[in-house]
Amino acid sequence: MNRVSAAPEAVLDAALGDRAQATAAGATTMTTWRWSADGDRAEAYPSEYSARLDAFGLHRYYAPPEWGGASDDHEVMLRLWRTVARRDLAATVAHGKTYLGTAPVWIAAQPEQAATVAAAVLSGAPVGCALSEPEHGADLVNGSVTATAHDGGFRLDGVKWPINNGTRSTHLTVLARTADASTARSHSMFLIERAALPPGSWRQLPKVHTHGLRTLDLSGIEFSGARIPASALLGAEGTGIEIALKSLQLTRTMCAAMSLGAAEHALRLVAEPGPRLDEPGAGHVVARCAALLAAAEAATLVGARSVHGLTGELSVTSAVVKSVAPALADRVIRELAELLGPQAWSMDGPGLGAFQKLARDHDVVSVFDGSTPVNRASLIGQFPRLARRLASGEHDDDGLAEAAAIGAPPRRLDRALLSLASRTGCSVLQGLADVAASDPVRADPGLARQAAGLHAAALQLSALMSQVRPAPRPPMAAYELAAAYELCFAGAACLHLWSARGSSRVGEPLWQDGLWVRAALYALSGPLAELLGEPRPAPSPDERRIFGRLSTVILAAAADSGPVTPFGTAL
Amino acid sequence: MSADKLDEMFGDPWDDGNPVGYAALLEADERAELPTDAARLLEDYDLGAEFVPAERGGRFVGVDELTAILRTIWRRDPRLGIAYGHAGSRDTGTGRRLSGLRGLEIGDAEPALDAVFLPSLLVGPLDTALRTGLANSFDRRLYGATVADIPFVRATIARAYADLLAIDALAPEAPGAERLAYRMLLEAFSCIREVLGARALLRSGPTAIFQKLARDVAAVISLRPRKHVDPEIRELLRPEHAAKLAEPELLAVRDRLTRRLGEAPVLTPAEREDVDQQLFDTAAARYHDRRLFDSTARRIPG
Repeated sequence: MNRVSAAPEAVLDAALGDRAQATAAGATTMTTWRWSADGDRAEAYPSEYSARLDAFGLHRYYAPPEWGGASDDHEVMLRLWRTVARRDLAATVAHGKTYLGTAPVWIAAQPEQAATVAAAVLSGAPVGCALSEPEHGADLVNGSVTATAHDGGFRLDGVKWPINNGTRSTHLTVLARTADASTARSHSMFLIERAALPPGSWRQLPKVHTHGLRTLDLSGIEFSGARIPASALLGAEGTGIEIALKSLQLTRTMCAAMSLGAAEHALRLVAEPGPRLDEPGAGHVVARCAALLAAAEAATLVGARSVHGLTGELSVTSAVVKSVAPALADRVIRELAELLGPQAWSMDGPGLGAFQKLARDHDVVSVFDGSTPVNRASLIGQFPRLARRLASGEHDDDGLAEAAAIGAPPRRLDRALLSLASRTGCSVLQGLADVAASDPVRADPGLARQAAGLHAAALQLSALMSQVRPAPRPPMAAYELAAAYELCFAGAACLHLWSARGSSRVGEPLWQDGLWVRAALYALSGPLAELLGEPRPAPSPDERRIFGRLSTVILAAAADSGPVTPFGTAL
Repeated sequence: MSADKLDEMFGDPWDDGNPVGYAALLEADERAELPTDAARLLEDYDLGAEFVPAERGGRFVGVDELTAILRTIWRRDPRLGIAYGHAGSRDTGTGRRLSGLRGLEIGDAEPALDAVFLPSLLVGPLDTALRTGLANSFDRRLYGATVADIPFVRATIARAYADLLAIDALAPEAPGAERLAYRMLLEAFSCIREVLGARALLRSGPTAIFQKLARDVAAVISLRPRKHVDPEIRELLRPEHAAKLAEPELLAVRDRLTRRLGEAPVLTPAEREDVDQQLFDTAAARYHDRRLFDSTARRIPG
C-alpha cells in the first residue's frame, strides 16, 4: 500500500486476531471471533472487545486534536471503523457511539465543558447521546422531555429512549424542550454527568431487546425533576435542534463505515473457496456484489473526506451517504444470502454463524441516526437548489479535489462551517460533467461512454427533481428521485476517485483497465434506470466481460484474504 | 371443518393473554422451542384429516380450502406450518439450527417443502407483517399526525400489499414463478420494515412478531433450491385469479411485476400515485374490518 495512513488500520486489524486460526475446528483460544458469536447469543455487552479497541486507542479518535484527541482525519476514522465492523458490527457501534455522544460538545461547548468531556473520552469513558423519545423517534421538534429553569439551573423531566450506551455512559448529551411551542428553536442541548444527578431524580430504563445489535447497551433514562446546573447547557438556549442536526451530519456520514464492514464481511464469507461457488451464475453474483460494494466504498470515502473539504455541503452529503451505503449493502447481503442458501442463516455455519449475525446487525443500520426515509426527506427539502446546480454543473473545485484525494492529510475540520442547508449544493455530483470529460476517464473509451451515460441520467434526474413542489409531506415519487440522486452520487464518487488515482495503481488487479470503476458503474445502472422509470438495460457483452474479470479477481483475493475492494485492506 | 373454525380456535393472536397468540409464540421462539399449546391445538383440530379426501373419510374438499386452512397456521407461526402442515418433514436428527425457524432442526436432507404450494403459504406471514405495519401506522403519531398520514408510508404499504396480491395470484407452475415469489416476498418485508422503522427491530411489544416472521420466511426460502429462470410475464398470473382483482389492484400487480422484471413500467407516475392511494385505502379498510388481505378477504379474529 502506497499510503502513509494505512498503518493504523493494519495495526488495529492485527490486534483483532487471525480469523482462520480462531474459527478452525477445535480452536479453543478465546478470540474476538468467539466473543462475537457467544456475546450475540447471550446478549452480553462486548466488554472484552471494547477493551481491545481501547488498548489500540480507538477512543482517542472520538476527540478532536485541539482537545488532545486523534480525530484530525475522518477518512482514517472511517477506515478504522470498517476494519472493526467487518468482524463485528455490533462491537463497532457499541464503541463508536461515543463519537455521536460527544459530537454536540465539539460543536457547541465552552472550553471548560469541552475539556471535561475530552478528559472523559481520552480516559475511555463511554458517552451517550439522548435524542430519541418513545413516541417521537426522529421527530426532534415534537420531543417532550423538558428542561425547566429552576434555582439558577434547570430541572429535567421525561423519558429519553432508546439510548445507545444508555446505562454505561458516564456523560450524556440530552436534547430537551426549553420553550412550549414546537419550533426549530424550542429545544436546547445539555451535557449531563450521570454521577452528578441527584439520587432519586432519575431512573434507568431496562435494556431493549432487539433483532440485530443484540449486544448493545440500548436502554433509556426517565428524568423526574432531575436538577442540573446552568453550566450543563451546551451552546445558547434554543439552539438544541440545530446542534443535534449538525452533529447528525457528522455521525450519519461516518455510519456508512458499518455498511462497508458488513458487506465486506458477507462478501468474504461467500467468496472464500467452497462448493457454493460451483453453482451456475455464482461468480456473476459475487462480482455484482463486489461492484456494488466498491460503489458504496467510493461514496463513503468521498463522504468522509467531505467532512473536511466540503464541510458546508454535509447537509446533502450526509443524507446521501447515510441512505446509499446501507441500501447498497442491504442489496449485497440479500443477493449473497440467496447464493449461500441455508448456510446464510445457520447458527453454526461459516465463521461461527457470522452471516446471519451480520445480516441481523446490518438491518439496524438503515434505521439508526436517522432512517433512510428521514434522510431522503431532508434531501427532498433541498431539491430546488440541488436540481438547479446539478443542471449547471457549478461546484467547489478545491473542496472536491480534497474530497477525492484519498490518503492525503485533509484540512482541519472547522465546525463553524457546518450548515443546515448547503448553499453550494453537492459538488461531488455537480462535478460529474467535468470528471466525465477528464483525461483519465476519456483515456478509456468504454469508461468514457459509461460516464457520459451517467451524466445524461443525472441531467434527466435534475429535470425531474425541479418538478417536485416543496411540501411538508412530499409524495413517494420524490423519495424515488432522492434514491436516484444517491446512486448518481455514488457513480460520480467512483469517477472522481478513479480520475484522481487511476494511473498510480495500475499494477493492482482491481485497478487494471479501470476494472472496479467500470464494474461499479454497470452495477449502479440497473437500479438507477428502475428509479427513473425506465427499462433495465440488457447486459452488453462488455458488461459480461467486465463482471467475468471481476469475479476472477475477487475470488482470488478472497482465497488469500487480500483486499476485495479498491480501497480496502487485507484481512 | 374450515379455516374459519381453525381461526376461531386460535382466537385473537394480538391478545397477550392468548396461550396460542403472538406473545406466546414469540416466547417459545425466544426459547428456541416449538409452541406446545399451539401444537396441541392443531392436534385437537386433527389437521391431518384436511389432507385426506372426503370420500376416504377425510376433510379435503379442494386446494383453495386447504390453502386457507394452512395460511391460518402460517399467519401465526411458519414453524407450525412446517412441523404440522405436511408442507415439510420435521427432522430431529443431527440438524443445523438456523436464525429463523428456531426450535426446528433442519436436517441435511432439506425438508420436502412443496415448491408449488410454498409461495402461496407464505402469503400467511406476509399478511401478519402487513397488518403489523398498518397497526403501527395508525397507532403512532409523528410530525403532528399519524404515521399513516405520511404519503411515503401510504405508498410503501400500498406496494407491499400489491406484492401480496401478486404472490397470491401467481401461477405456481409458471417457469421462474417460484423464485420470483420469494424475491417479492422479501421485498414486501423490506417495505414494511421501512414503515416500521426502529420498531421493526424490537423483540418485545406489539411489533415484535415482525422480526420473528422476517427471520422465519428468510430461513424457509433459503431451503428451496436457487434456480435461474427468467419468467415470462404473460404466463405469471393465474387468469381466474387475475379476473377476481379489481382494476387498481390488477394495475398495481402488473406494475410491480414489470418493474421487478426490468421492463418498462405500465403506469405513468401520476397513475401510479393514484393506484398507490387506492391500494392503501383498500389495505387500510381490510385492516380496520379485520379481513384478510388475500383474495378471500375472509374475516378473522382480532
